[in-house]
Amino acid sequence: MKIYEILIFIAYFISFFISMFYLLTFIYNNKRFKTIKSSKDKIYTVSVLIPAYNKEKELAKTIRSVLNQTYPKDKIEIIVINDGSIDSTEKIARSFKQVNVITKKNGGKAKALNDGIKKAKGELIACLDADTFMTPDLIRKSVTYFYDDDVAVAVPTLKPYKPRNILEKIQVVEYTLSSFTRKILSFKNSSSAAPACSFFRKNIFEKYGGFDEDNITEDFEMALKIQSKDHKLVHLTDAIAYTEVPRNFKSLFRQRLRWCYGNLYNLRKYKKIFGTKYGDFGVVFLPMMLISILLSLSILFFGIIDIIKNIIHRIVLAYKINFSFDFNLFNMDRILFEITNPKTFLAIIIFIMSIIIVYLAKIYTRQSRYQENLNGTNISIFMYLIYAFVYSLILVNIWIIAIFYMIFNKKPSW
Amino acid sequence: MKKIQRKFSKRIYLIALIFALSIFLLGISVGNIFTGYITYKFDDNKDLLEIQLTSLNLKDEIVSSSEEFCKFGVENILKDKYDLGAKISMLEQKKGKNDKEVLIQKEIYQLIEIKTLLLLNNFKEKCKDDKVTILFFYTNDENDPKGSSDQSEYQGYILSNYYRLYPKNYVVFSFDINSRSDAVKTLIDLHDIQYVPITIIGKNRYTDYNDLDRLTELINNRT
Repeated sequence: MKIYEILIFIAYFISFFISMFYLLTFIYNNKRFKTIKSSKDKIYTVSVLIPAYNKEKELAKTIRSVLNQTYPKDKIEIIVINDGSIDSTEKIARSFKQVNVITKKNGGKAKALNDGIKKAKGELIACLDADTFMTPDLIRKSVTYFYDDDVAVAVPTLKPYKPRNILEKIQVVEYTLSSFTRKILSFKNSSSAAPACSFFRKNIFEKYGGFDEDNITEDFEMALKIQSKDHKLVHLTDAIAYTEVPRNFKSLFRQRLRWCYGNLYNLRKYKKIFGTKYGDFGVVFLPMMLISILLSLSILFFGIIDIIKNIIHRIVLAYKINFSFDFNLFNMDRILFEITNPKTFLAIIIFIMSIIIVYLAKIYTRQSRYQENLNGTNISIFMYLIYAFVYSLILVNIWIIAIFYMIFNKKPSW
Repeated sequence: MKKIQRKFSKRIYLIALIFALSIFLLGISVGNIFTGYITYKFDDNKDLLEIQLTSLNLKDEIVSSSEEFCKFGVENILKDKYDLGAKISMLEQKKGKNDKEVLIQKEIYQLIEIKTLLLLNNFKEKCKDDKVTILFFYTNDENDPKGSSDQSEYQGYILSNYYRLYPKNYVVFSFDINSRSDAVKTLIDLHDIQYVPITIIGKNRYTDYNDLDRLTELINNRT
């Protein structure tokens, strides 16, 4: 048996284990997927911070999505931090009388957010990307999670905004799946994401400081910091925000390289959270995340070597007979004979399990069927197939580049 | 704001582990059953090979004394030989060249080839058939001092393709120089094969590897 075949069996087993864990945790916590019902009627003041750098196209829509909230208007403070934009971002922000605008020299998102936090008066801070739009009941639903005194951070579900091309539609599968799995992980206090739209208790920043200004994935760093301080981070599948996602491969590549590099950098920074002291998070999830990355890369590496060798061999053979192919080679008996092995069966089972998880994710993270059709965030089986068999295989390669960036101490640019 | 109590959810991991292990083992078992079912057709090949060998011997006995020997022809036995060879080649790809089952089947197959070759020679002589007989000796052993397994593979592939393209004009008989069969060893001695690959076309023998164009030239200029 070849090395990569052994690795594939290990990867299959880990995939079964992770899938079973997700499904079982989902079954045990099924009723906890919806908004917390509480006797509390506390209405928190929420400061929505919107750092913006050259976001003239999206900013007005983002601000309007906050102004359209069903939450009491007098309890929402909107702060736009113009991070040295050279377009009309500031003019647009100032055109809304309800918005406070902070103008500063360009210094990055983390610094902009920290400046906003200093000025914010709310008990809760919502960090909202300038290209991310809240659904009308997002703040109202998110705030209810803070009725649980243990909750430090609440992260709504994020989905691509009106996906048009195939790349954006594939990202709908990815975002939906991420939101669902993060929700499940948050039941085990093991989620480590606080992306484009997240709510924080303000005293978290007072106690542990703001965002790391030198960090290119400051949101991930903040989530790890909160986990390292043993505070609760929850995910919401009933409150949804829509965000602009990369429309072409070049921008997707740059974004993912930044994320992968940031993940590796921050995992190294918070290596202390690996271990028994951090329960499920330190013993299972973080190690599993690293093992999955390494395993995927190894399989890809050895698999690609094997596939290339095979292809070269077949091309050489074809060349020897002047490419006069034997089409008999492709008859059904032969294909069936070649693909029938235990590996194929394990792959089929994993595929079926993944379909079940995607289906649950689709059902449990949608605003409503009507809204889903309106926004074009419905997941088709075709999109899932492209996501599973093409997109994921391409994206896993970005980890290799990120590892090289880490080794050579090079930082990806925005 | 309180700090959370970190837990290790032993129970859920244990259940997930049991399920994962069960599905994993079930997948492998079902996979093996189906693989067994599919490869059974090929394991069954050994019986077919033995039947074919016996059948060839009996056919030889029946037809050789018949006055209507030429009427029976050889097309069917050549086609059967080709199909059996193709199956062994598939099995070899799946199980590897050194698999015990594959090696056994190959030994029987080579005996069928020899019997077919004898029948064909008889047929050609009695029935004035001008089919070109090509004998090919090769090795599968990567470290064989008697020759290159890569070149053997390429040459074998070209020759098989030749038969596929012109089944009515050419017949290829391939023999492993490391065969344990006495009949094959005799054939190797008879043709004084020291190095492989060697291709014998008619009365001419060609050592080393010959590409498709060269082989076509050799076949066309055969004596």
